[in-house]
Amino acid sequence: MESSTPSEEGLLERICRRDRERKNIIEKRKEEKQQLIVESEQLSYFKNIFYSRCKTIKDWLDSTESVPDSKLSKIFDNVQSEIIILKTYLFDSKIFLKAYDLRRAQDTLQILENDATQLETKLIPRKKFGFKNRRVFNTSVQSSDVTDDLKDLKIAESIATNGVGKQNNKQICNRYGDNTCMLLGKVDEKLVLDAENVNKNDVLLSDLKRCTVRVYGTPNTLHMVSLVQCTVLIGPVTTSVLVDNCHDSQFAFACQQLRLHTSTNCTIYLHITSRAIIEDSTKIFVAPYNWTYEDQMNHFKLAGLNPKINNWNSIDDFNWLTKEKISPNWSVLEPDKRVKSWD
Amino acid sequence: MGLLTILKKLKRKEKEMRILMLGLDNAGKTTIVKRLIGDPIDTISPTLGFNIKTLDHNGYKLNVWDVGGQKSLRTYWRNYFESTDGLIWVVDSADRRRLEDCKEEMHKLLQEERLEGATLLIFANKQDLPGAVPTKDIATILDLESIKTHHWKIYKASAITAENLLEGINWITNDISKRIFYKN
Repeated sequence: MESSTPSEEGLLERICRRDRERKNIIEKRKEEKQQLIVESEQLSYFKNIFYSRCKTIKDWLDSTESVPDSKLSKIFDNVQSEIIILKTYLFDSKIFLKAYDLRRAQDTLQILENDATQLETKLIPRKKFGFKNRRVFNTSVQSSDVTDDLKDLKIAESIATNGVGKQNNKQICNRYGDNTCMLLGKVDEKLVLDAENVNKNDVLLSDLKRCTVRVYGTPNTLHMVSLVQCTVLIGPVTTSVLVDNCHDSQFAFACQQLRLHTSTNCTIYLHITSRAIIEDSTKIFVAPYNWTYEDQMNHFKLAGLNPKINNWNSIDDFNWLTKEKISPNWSVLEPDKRVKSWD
Repeated sequence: MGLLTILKKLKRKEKEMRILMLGLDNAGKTTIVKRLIGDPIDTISPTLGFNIKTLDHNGYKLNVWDVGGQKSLRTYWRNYFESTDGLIWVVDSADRRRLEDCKEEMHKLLQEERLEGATLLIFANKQDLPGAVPTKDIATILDLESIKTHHWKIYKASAITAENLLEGINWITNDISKRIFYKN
């Protein structure tokens, strides 16, 4: 008995202490919770802002009936951007909203958005664009002509093939301005471009068959599209060479970058200061640039290319991304197969 | 200003923006990024995959994702859409041959649900070249007027002369901050 009294007291004390601690913890949690509640994260605050802004949008939409046409598009632009802002706001508030409130807000926004699009199609009919197009079309000459033609092309889905051909020719003529040197659609010809024509300009070679082209000078960019069985010799190109859809041809050029797409069986005598990439191409052979002409060193300087840096034999293939094995789509042309003299 | 606190909390690292740089190959995306951060621009190679650069600009931290534009990479563009605040579309103004392609690819992007609400900045790049199509015409060809789903603006630009690069970045950061850091 004697020994039980102190332990009983101890028990009581312990129970009391535990109870105090427990209450303390509860109190503490309460406080923490209180601190966490930010005014702006309360439902009422959100509702207040969100629905008052919805009301503003609604008012704008209602006002469209009485506003002059010229101001309509401005209003609709405002409505659009306001809706986007609200969407973001709603999305960001997701964490503290209850499912029901979230859904209600979403529905409200959806209805507004639908109303806006309906009103917009009703009040600003697409006609406006059509009219604009036609006007531009009639005044011709303008360069915007090109796309407008294209648009018309696409809208009218049933076009005869020869019609398309005509359109294409017209497009090419329209699209390439005075500052582009072009050689288009030649067969079995020997063609030469001089420095005064090409220096600092873009050069386009397109749809050539069995032609030999020599370009003495430094184009800014060189485009070669749809060449078959051609030999093309070019001076140093300041920026990139873009090759697309070329077959059974050989090229010699110096450049900063080369991007070669959908081509087969081409040999490139290359001087490249940065990197070359190929994509969707096979049977590509490379060798160092070996075409020379009188003014070439000056042209290297003019193009800003370093004649001493040449990465001709490191090519990246977008269809072959493993590093362990070299791409089967390109290889170095064996020295005895290389062209020794271009004359 | 209650919203500000929420958004800041959400953005954790405050005033951070994610900018996605896209465009056809050879448009000059990498060159623009390198120009902005002051790296040399004469040894740039075609981008295999992507580069990420961080820019500190007007107190904002811009994470710029520069993704390659080759055809085979375009299918991977969508992997970068998530939580993009701003989109920079780079156009090679001198490449008349592919402006129509450029328009199609851009409008395809704007349909993307995950890019909804992202601010769109268009750089009509390479305007230093004599053969460049004027910016106004590029806006017509790309049919920018029809874009209602995004805030957009086009700038006449050149990565070589650095013309308008900063102005463009200023505009896009301003527009984004108005949206996500919400000022009344």
